[in-house]
Amino acid sequence: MREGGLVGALCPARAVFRWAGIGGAILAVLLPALVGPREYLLYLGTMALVFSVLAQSWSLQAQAGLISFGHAAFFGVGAYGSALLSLRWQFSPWIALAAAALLAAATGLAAAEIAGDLTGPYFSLTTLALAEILRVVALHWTSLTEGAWGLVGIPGLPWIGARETRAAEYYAALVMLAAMCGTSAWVQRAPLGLALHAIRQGEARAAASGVDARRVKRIALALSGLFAGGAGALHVHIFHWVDPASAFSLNLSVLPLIMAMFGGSGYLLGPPLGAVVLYLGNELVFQRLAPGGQLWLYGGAVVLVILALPHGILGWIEARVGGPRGPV
Amino acid sequence: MVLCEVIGLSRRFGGNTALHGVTLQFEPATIVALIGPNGSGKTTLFNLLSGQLPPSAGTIRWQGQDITAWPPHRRCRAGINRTFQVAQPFPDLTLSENVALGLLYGAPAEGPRGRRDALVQAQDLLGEVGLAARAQAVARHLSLGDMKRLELAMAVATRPALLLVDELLAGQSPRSAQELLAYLSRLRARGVAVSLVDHRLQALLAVADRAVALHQGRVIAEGKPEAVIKSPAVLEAYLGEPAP
Repeated sequence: MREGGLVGALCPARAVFRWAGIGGAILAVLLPALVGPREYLLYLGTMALVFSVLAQSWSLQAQAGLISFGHAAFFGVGAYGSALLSLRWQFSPWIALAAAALLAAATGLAAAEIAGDLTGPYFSLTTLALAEILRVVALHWTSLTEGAWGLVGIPGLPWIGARETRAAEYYAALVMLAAMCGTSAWVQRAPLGLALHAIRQGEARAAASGVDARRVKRIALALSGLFAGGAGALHVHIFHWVDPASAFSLNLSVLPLIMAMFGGSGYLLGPPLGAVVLYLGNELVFQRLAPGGQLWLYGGAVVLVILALPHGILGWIEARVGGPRGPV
Repeated sequence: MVLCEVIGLSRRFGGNTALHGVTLQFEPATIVALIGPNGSGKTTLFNLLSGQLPPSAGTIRWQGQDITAWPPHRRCRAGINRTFQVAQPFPDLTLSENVALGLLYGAPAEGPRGRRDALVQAQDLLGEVGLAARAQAVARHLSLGDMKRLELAMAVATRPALLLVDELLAGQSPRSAQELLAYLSRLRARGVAVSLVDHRLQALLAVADRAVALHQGRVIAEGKPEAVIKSPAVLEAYLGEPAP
């Protein structure tokens, strides 16, 4: 493929990843047919896809060194935006979802204005505060959000010729993940991807090469917000309710970060892989091994893997299969 | 014709005045050697010109326009670029990618159409500074001398009209220093204004059309290189006062 670009061509690991990605995509498309009527499994699959979108969107902005501790801000804005538009103002859920995703993209632009000039931990902590502020607003603006009661009875996504089903929701999440991965793949190959990496490795130096770092960060945060917000919106139409504690949960800020690092945030497939493995691992393995104590197992496993594999699972595989170059 | 004009430029760091009311002009197709002992304000002047630092006082005009408040990326696109004394390419990008970034973002009007195109053009530019064979290497593995060459290619990628070159010859063999100076002369022939700071004075003055001597942040001599280097003020700045 390309001559030694960011995605380094000569590494056999890249070919392995590509085939694994194609295999994973085929499996994902066929999953509803494979699991048949077992709705719980489809529900798990849908949630794994929603987390994959979140982790991938987190990873997109992280390429510019924008390590967010407040990704829940985008998710929550998407969730509340779509809930309010469809419930209070009776917009079609599809239109509400799209508008809410755009609202979350605008939140990304706002985050760039507020925190875009900050670097490292200062940026991270500001995003953490942003998510917390939005949670408190959702909690106390009761005339709009019903506060801690949350909003219930949010309509599901209407389908042409069919009632909403778990399979339909699953495919909606899959399409969203495909769009997210397509965007990330495009960014990796576009000038923008080069600029994101340059900003992470030296913002002042990037400016000396003509890169308008503020503008690039705005684009990265808006794209990240768009998809994280879309994931939040999809979530409320699947569950039909939303409350401040769940929509702006710290969990939603920390999990995308952990999932992306776990899979390998320098790779296109890393964040979805991390999301699927960790989410399904928690639901299907840890919760059964130690009901009630699963978070100890989960946390311990994450710590061990991140200590042992600093570039995530894919980084580890690449180092084994061959490839002179770590993630960039 | 004046390309860039510096008027009464000052920069203070706390109580220390690094530049003190410097007034200078840069013309196209001219190499200006900026000389002076350590701490005389040469790199500070470069930082003010390229926008890495804001001045405490004074004005910078570019083709007649006041650009004193412009951020670095805007000056880069307008045609001012520099190499860094401490070479700082992007360590995890390949040499081609380091150069392609400047082609894509630094010269929007004449730049390449896409990233693939930029990587091809980057290869040519790396060839001009003698790094073609290492184009696919990651920048962090370069020797100091090669990093300096990469710095130069990165700066030239943005199609500068004024190129500020800070300590390029450090870490170069005498022969490769000659090659680099010849390359700078070729840039001059293409119309680029070049300003050079270097500790290798003889090599520097051999290619320069004009020399400007700084001492304690002030211009103490300006003119033909051979005249500047012999001026009493410059001798005193480098060697101290003559014995009575």
